[in-house]
Amino acid sequence: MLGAELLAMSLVIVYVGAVAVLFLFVVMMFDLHLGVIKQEASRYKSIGILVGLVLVVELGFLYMNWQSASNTHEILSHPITPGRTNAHAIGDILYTDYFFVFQLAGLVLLVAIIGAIVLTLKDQATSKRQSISRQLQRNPQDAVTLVNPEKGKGVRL
Amino acid sequence: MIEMSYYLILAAALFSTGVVGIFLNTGNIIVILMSIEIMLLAVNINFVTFSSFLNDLVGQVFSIFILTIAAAEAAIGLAILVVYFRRRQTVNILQDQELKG
Repeated sequence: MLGAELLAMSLVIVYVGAVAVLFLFVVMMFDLHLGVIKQEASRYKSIGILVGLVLVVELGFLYMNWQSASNTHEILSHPITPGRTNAHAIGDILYTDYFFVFQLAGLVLLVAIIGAIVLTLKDQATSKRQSISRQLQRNPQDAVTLVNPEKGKGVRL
Repeated sequence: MIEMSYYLILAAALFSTGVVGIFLNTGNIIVILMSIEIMLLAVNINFVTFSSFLNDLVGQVFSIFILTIAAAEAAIGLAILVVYFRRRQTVNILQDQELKG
């Protein structure tokens, strides 16, 4: 195997646990009519298959003919050391050399969270929120009345 | 030990599947998003393969970042899809467009 255990597990967890479930929920939420979509698929079939074949052939040529540079083993920036587990080794460089990129990735996720919430948030009719323009338009004459109630009687406004 | 070319062929097949998936569908955004995910996954496989066979760990770190971006992209894409579906009652982006010009 490739010896990338951490990545293997995180891929499984992220894709099965998050992305697949997200797609599943969205597909379940929409009542999709797939029959209509399949009817129209034949229109683009030829060009799609053509593009796919061209891509496969290109990548095939590339993979048959590539070779790595002769000094590859001298210019490794973070060589894999035997005896250190994969998770340890990745942690060693992820939190040191790539710390800012790591933080940036976290920021991207934060933006994604906020963006998804903002996009899908429906305005609740019952939610009470501050309307600054209405607040500023009020003046004391409209808002406040001074009354001098008699003892034992209520106040009628 | 499995040979390197097998991993590369797998990645190439996955990537081509994603591209063909984008071309073959008729405007279903869900399928486009899934195809993009497949392409990102193929790129991930390539990165991990080269990282392992060239004995350099940076490929795996980069792969983690790709994973992050893929997750964020799926979340935002599906959120946009939800808004679109609420407005149009369909996920087809090709039929009777509003933006003609």
